[in-house]
Amino acid sequence: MLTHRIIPCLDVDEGRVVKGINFLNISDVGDPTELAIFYNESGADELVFLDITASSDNRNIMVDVVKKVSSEVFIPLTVGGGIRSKKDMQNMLEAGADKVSINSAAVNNPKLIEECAKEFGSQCVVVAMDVKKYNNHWNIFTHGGRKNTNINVLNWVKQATELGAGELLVTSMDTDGKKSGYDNELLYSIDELVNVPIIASGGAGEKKHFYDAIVKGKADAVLAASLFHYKEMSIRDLKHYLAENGIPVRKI
Amino acid sequence: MYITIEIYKIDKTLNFRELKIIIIDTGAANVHSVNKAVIKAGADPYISKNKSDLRNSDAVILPGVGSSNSVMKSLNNLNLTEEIKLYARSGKPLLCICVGMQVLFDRSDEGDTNCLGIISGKVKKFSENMMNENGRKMKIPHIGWNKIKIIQKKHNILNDIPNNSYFYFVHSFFCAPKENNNIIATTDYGIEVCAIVGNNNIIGTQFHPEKSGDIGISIYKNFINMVK
Repeated sequence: MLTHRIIPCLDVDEGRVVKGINFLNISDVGDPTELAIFYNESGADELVFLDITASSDNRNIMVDVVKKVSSEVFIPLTVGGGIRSKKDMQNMLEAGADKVSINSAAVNNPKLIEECAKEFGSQCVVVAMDVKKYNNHWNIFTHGGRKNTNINVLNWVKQATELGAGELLVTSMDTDGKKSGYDNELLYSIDELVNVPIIASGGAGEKKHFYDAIVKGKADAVLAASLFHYKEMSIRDLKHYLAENGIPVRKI
Repeated sequence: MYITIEIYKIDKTLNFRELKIIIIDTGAANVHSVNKAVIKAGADPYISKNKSDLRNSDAVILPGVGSSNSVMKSLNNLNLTEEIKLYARSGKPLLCICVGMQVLFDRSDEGDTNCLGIISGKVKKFSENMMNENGRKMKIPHIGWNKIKIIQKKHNILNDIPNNSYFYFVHSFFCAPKENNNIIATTDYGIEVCAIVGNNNIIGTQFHPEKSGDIGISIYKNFINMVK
């Protein structure tokens, strides 16, 4: 039986892993390759690297990070942040990424999803989205969560999957950083509409939250960052808990 | 005499780095990751798209990412299609991964593609609206870590690989071999899916050994050990 994946997310700024808490107060927590090795050994099922480097001059640093990590760690790598074109995606895939996530660029130019899916296959096209409730609608926000696009998430996920997105990475800005649980209502609503895997993101604070995202939110995979980085929770313990509660996970 | 042969064999397996292992570069695949995984397994592979390299190699790996039609198009453009068929008949080990495994078959529903026809059978798309016994939606693509059920315990590619080991899968199409005795292992995704196909020297894995952690590296080690 297919297991549910536990995915640590590493934010990378100019080649170093950092984590923004509620998109603020960034503090440095380490070297990407070392962290990847650590997470592989702790039982992570996959790693997400998000490039948050502001200056486009330094974007190629990320290609080197991906090359280094994929030479040392033999689990799936998803890379996102600042991917704007088919060429950007190709560079990441050639460097050793297995999947590439696109966010703002997909919203600005939905055809990019289709082009990338045709060229590289849907399985490596992840559409990532930052979602926030606004006037009782879940809206898509872009530019690191600063810009309200007024696009309803439920319309967007249908469009994105029709264009060939192979997976959705859904971050709730309402729950992110609060450690009070994932936005399971949002996740469930998306799951009802699409037939591609969904990665839940934003809000994990305790083990039960992961269980709820999988059971109530129907998430296929669950992502967290600071919780793992600051060793507030180990992936091993989390998997043990989930397995005890009847959730299929890959044993380590 | 017997002892001499034994020593020769041991010596040969210890010198993985002297073997000429070719990873075929179709342009679209994850050649980088496969290369690093084979190095991790102890060999020193070459990445190539040349016919002559293929012909002079001890073992060949055909990685696959993308779609069957793009991989076949690329092999046709590189004039490698006939060369791979010829190589498959040579008896030397051939390992095909994911879409690489799918193009081993006669035909794929993905883009209605004529494939290599090295193993008989075809490649079909998962049907929509599949559920497992717990009512969980079986989504497409099948992405993630899934257990394999070993059918042919004695196959060399499975040396020291326990039943129910987890491997990393990413695919929307699945292989349906015509001959049951070509199925080495399966995985459960609403239906029983062929996870490893084999016919003598030819092996295909639907999962990505290069993305399946230490157990995946063991698959490459076993493959290298198949080089006589």
